[in-house]
Amino acid sequence: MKKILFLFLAMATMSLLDKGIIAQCVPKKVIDSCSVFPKDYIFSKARVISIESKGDVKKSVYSVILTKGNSYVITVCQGKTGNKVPMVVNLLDNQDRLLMSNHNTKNDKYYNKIIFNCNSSGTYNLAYQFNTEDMKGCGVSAFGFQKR
Amino acid sequence: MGFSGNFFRISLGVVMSSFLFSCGSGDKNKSKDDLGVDALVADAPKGDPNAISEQAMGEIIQSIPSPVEMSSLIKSIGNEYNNSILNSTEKISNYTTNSEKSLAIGIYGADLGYINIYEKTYSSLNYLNAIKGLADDIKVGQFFDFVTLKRLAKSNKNVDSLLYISTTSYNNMDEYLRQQKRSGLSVLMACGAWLEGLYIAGEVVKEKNDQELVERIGEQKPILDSLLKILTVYQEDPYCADLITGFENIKKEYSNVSVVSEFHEPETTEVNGELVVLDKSKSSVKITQEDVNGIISAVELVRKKVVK
Repeated sequence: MKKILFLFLAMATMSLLDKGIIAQCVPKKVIDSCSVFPKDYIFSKARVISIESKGDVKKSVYSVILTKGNSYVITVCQGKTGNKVPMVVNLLDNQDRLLMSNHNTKNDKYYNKIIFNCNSSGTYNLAYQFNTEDMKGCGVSAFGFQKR
Repeated sequence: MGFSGNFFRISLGVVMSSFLFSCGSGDKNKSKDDLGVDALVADAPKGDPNAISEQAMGEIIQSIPSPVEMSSLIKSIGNEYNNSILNSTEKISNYTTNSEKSLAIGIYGADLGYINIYEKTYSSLNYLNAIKGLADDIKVGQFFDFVTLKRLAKSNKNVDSLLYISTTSYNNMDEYLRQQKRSGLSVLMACGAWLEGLYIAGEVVKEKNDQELVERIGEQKPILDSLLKILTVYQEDPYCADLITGFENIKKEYSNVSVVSEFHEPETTEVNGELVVLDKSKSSVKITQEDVNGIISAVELVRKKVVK
């Protein structure tokens, strides 16, 4: 009976993995805790960032449209990788100019929460990477905006 | 119950979940007409100049600001809550095809965001019911934590949690649709949410010509372009073709609108251990009253047609 159940369990799990439902390297509780923002900030979205360093892929880049007059919060949290250094997030404008980073290279300090007070509406890019030796890693980043 | 009991329960749960998820995409018995745009995804011709990968479509959808941002601004300018501008949940039975239902999920989703921003949580229950019903119909209701949402909606002290769970439910539905190669429905959800957000903004501007809100309407131009880009993938579907025509009419009204930006280095400070970045760049929108009126009218026409 156990064997049959185990077979069903394995098949079902494979089916779910195939659908990407539980194939995440970040537990839901980490996503939830990473989405806890300062007061008055409203959750907008969370992304699981997984870089396996296959080929030349060493960072994940996502576009985001930001609006003038809004204050945004970006958080970064570690996934199940055991990396000693946190995930790095860089915000770039549509000309690829670096506007902010959660990694201060001068003192090698990492921030897990950044507030961006936007004054220019447009498309921006959020670029995620891992400063590990193999550039691999897994984490989650949540994004929200301040209630006006 | 010992290990074997727990094992049995977990196994059964996972197996049942698997079947539920499998059923979630189980529209195989339906004809192409029943499925509408849902069926066209697999049929998108290879080498089609309009073809965009599922991943690219997802990234475009994910980049679009939440309609809650617009509602938040509307509330901040002192505009009173107005239930009459929202799409009535009594119309839910008018939406019969998967395409109509998906667009309606987006529309009701934007309405729900507006309701929640104004903390009218008692009204949100009807909208939650409507979204849940439509989501079940297109087999994505499993991502909607209706029990928790219903509980949270009973008090206006839970607005942040309500917004968080409704947003994550919406995002999960959207992601699942794309994973299941049903991106057409995901695109329609995004179109519905965007259209309703812009419609609400337009109705407010008609009452109170707030300059910031007018600028936000002008800034929708590139978002409209992006939505048209992904909608065009499904142009062979009659429902999408109609929507494209409507969106093209809105686009015509945007032809004289432009957004100008000027770059300046940002200022970065550390406040209570958090990094705070002050953007010193500037942007402004060139938009005339005539442009605004034209956009509002074109949006009203499309919205009237789709909400029925």
